[in-house]
Amino acid sequence: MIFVTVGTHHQGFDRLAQAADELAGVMDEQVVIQRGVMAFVPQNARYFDFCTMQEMADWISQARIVIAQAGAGTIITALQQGKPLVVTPRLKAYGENYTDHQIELATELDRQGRAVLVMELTAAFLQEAIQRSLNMQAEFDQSDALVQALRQQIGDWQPLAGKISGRLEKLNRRLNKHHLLLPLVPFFAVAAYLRALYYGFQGKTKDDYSITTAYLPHRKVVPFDDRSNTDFFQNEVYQTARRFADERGLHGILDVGCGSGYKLIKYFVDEETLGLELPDPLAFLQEKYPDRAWALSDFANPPQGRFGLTICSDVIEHLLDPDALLEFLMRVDCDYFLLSTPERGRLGLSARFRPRSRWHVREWTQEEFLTYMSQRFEVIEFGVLGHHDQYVIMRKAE
Amino acid sequence: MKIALVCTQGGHLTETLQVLDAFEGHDVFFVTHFSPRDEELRRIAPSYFCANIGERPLVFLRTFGWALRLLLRERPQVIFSTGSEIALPFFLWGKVLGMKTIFLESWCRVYSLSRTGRLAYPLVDEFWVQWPQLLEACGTKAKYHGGVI
Repeated sequence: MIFVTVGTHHQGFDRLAQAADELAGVMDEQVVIQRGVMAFVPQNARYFDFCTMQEMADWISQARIVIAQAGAGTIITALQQGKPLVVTPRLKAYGENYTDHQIELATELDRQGRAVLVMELTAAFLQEAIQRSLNMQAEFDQSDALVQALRQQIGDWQPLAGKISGRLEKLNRRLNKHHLLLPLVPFFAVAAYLRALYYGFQGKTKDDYSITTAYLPHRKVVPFDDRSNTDFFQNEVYQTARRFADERGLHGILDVGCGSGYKLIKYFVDEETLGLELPDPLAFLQEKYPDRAWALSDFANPPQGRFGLTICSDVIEHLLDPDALLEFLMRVDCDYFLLSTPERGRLGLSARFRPRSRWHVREWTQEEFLTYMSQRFEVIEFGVLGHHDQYVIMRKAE
Repeated sequence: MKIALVCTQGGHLTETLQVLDAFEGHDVFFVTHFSPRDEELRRIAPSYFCANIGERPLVFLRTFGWALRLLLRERPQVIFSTGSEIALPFFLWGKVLGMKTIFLESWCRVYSLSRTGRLAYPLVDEFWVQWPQLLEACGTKAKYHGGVI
C-alpha cells in the first residue's frame, strides 16, 4: 500500500492528490490518500480527509511507501518507523502555503539521503521517486540530546518557580480586587504621562518640597517598623557617617529615627550617642540597650546638648511634612548633618510618578533633593550609595 | 513547575509531542488550534484550543486578550513553544508577567528563520534552533542543542 498524506494544514494541496490519483490508476498497488481540505475528489484511490495521530501512525506502519508533504509531522512519524519516504513541498505559488519554507527541509532530507524530493508532481515522477526511495536506507538515530537539554534548562529554572508564581498570585489577587478599574488603567497611564509632560518630569516645582508637581505623593503615612531589621538597610549610610566623623574628628552622635538602633551601636560603639525614636520603638530600644541614651523624638523640643554629627538615615521620605524635620534640625546644636533618602531616578519606572513603597510618602531625585536641602543648609558632600540611596552631608547655612 | 506548551496543530504539535519526555514530573498544558487531534491531546494533558488565528490580523489581535486571560488563570512558570504565530501573544505576555520562555524553532527550518522566530527572538529567554546551519541566520542568543530527530 502507498500512503499519501497532505497533513493538517488548512490550505489545499490538490497537486499531490491529483498526481497520487493518477499513480493509483497506473499501479496495481492500493493508494490511500489523506487529502485534508482540498476540493479535488480522487477517482482511483481510496481517500479520507483527516485522522487522529494514532490512526496516522497506523496508516504509516501499514504502508509500504509514504508520500508526504514536506512538513515536520508526517516526516518524523515516517522516519521513526523507517518507511521509504517521498517528500514534496507545498509551494506558495500554488496557494498551498504562506511561504516556501518546506523546500528547505525537503532539500536537506534529500541531501542526507533520508527521503526523496519530488518537485514536479506527476505520476511518472512519483513512480520514479518511489523506485529511488526503495533503495534508500531510511535510517536515523533517535538522539535525546534535545530532550536532555530541555530537561536541564527547566531544572535550572526550578529555583525561580516560587518567585514567579508568587508574583503571579499577587498580581492575580490585585486584579481580582480591582477588576472593575481595569478598563480605566490606560486612561490613568495616559493622564499621568500628560500631567508629567505638562509639569516636566523633574525639577519644575510649585514649592512642593522641590519635587516636580507631576509627582503624586502618598497622602497617608504608614509607619515603618524597623525593629526586626539589623544590618539590612542603610548599612552604607552609617559607614559613610563613621568615615566622615573620623575624618573631621567629630564627637557626639545624634541619630534621628534610629529604628532598631543596631547600626548606630555597631558603627559608633565607642562614641557618645543619642537616638531619637517614636514611643513604640523607644520602649523597645530602652529595654534592649539600657546602657545607651535614647529619647523621644519630638520636633517641638530639640534635644539639649552639643553634637558633632546628626544622622537622619532614610527618615525624610516617611514624613508628611519634611519641612518640620528640617526646621527641627536647624534648632539642634550640631556641626554637621547627614541625611539619606532613596533616589527616585534609580527606583525604576514604577516609582516615577508616585512612591513605589507604601511606607514612603515621597521620594526625591538627586537634583530635587540637592535643591531642597540647599534652601536651608550648605551642602558639603553628596553621593549615591548602594542600589538606590543618596546621601548629603551639610551644615547650617550662615 | 507548571509549563505551557504552545503550538499550532500539525508538525509543530508533533514536534512538541516528541520532546514531551523532557517535561516529565511537571504540570503541563497545551494551547493549540482546533484540529482532528483534539481528543487525543486532551487525554495527554489539559488543553486549550482556539480557531485558526494566522489568517486575519484582527482575529490575531483578539488572541492577545485571550492569551492574557489564559495565562492569568493557569499561571504557568514556563512557556515552551515550537512555533507558529500562536506563540507570539503568549511570549509577549510571558515577558510582561516575568515567566520563563523557550522558543524552539521548527524542525522544518533548516536555513532561514520563520517569521514567528524573527518576532519572538527579542521576547524569549531561550531561543533554540534544530539545525546547526541555522545558527548563522540568527543572532548570538540562538543555541543549538540537537533536533527532535
